[in-house]
Amino acid sequence: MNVLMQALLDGICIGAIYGLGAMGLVVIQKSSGVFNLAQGMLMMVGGFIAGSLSVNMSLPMWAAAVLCMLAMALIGLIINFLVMRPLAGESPFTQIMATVGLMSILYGIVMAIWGTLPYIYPTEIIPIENIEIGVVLLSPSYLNGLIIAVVACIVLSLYYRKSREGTAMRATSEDEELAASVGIRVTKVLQLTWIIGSICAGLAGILFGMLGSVNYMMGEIGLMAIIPVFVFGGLESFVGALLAGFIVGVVNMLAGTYLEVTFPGITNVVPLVLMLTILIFKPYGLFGEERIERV
Amino acid sequence: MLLVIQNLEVVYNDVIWVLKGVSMEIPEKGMVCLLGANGAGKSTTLKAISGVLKLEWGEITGGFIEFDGKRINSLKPQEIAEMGIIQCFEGRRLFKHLTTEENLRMGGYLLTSNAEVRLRLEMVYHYFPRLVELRDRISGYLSGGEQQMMIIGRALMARPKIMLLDEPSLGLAPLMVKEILKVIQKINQEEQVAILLVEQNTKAALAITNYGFVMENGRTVLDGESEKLKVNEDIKEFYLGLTQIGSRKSFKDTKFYKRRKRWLA
Repeated sequence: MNVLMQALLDGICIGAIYGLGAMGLVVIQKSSGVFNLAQGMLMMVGGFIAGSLSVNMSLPMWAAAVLCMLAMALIGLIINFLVMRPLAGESPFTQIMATVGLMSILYGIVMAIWGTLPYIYPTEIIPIENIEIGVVLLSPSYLNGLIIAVVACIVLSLYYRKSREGTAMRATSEDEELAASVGIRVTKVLQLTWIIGSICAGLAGILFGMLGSVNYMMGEIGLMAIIPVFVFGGLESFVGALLAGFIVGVVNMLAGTYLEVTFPGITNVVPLVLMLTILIFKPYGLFGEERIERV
Repeated sequence: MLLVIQNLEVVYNDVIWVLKGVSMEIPEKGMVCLLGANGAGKSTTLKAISGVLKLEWGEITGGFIEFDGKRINSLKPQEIAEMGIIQCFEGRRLFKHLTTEENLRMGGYLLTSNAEVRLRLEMVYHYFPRLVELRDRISGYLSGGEQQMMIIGRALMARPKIMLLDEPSLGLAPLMVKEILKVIQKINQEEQVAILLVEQNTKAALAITNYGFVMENGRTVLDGESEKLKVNEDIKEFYLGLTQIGSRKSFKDTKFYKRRKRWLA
């Protein structure tokens, strides 16, 4: 029973981190219809930047996290400027292929700067003590992941629902030409989405690194972890991404706890199997917008 | 003159020569219609004015467009929108996953003060009372007429000096067409907004406008006051489908290619 409770709670916390990474994908998908395959690499870059700041420059973790977010914003800006803006108006497929290229480039840059050595850094951005519920123990790094992901989800959802710029982003994703004709600066909107998406990736990368270490494998592992969450959550909903993160995280943990011994390696497969099963019954994912079709 | 177009030429994708010489003048608060058959270049003319042409690989290769005495050929769409030129696209283009009110608010995206947005919303609801109860509905599920009202409302939100309306009657029931055209006329008179109306429904368009231009094959070939155009022989034959006597015409008597030749020269 205790093992089960521990697995559930850990799963929820880890899932929240996956959810945060997936929210970065949602932001970009929502505004430009592009599936950013470089998201995992961006997570890794964020993790390494925070690692350098905290380990090499011995900054407190919260300061490292804030500086890392600023750096990620800058990286998002550069990516948009060098890669995505020249491709604006091309088919989403072209742009998705560009993100594949981006993935290799980021990987190369990370290898050149940080190499293959892992970074291990403090496990809390927000200082929290261990929380014990009965015999179940929640460590600070897990709680940090949960809190930050939930706050990010609420902030992003409100921003997109209520604010003028957020509505403009949704409008742009539907019809760029029309958006431009009402005076929305489409290029600015796309720029903003890449900045927000990169910041989400960076944060998720830091939290991901806190669970163990930041290393050169994180880009791929991170991407494989957030793809099922992203698809499962319905591609366009922040709440969907968070809840899907919870579900995937819990399933992952349960598989790790109970099945891993008998079927080694199954932990990484279960979320993808789950994703396929769900897509058969709910093609729009859990919270996807159904496409409006009128005849 | 509010808007002056002189010998405008437009090429798509560097090869397709769509507009070959369009000239128009629209006075302040004018109510003008642009007529022509399919593919004559009416929509392209509107897109050239509002600047969205550049988003679809079109380019202005000759002539000029002046608004309020200022060249706007090379301005970006949002800069042109800021000047008060607002286009409603053909085929009821809307942000269909947004609610009616969000759509209207997007129309007023360039308004900086909240008070003005509210004021403008009030105004739109005054012209289209039916939209009030639909304000929180997802606009993709509204009926065609309601969507068209919302789209004209959205244009009105942007504090327009001139509205470019591309076939607002497309695909609507005749009664709805009448209602919408009436409101357009009312907006023109009460809000001092100039209107450039593109229509296939020639009769209705000539009835509510003061002046008209006719396009064919990328050129403006004829213009005049709507009253005069209504009785023009060519207009009557090609667009209203009537002969001199005013009776409907049978196709077997038509030999219109000869008359058309004269226009094309």
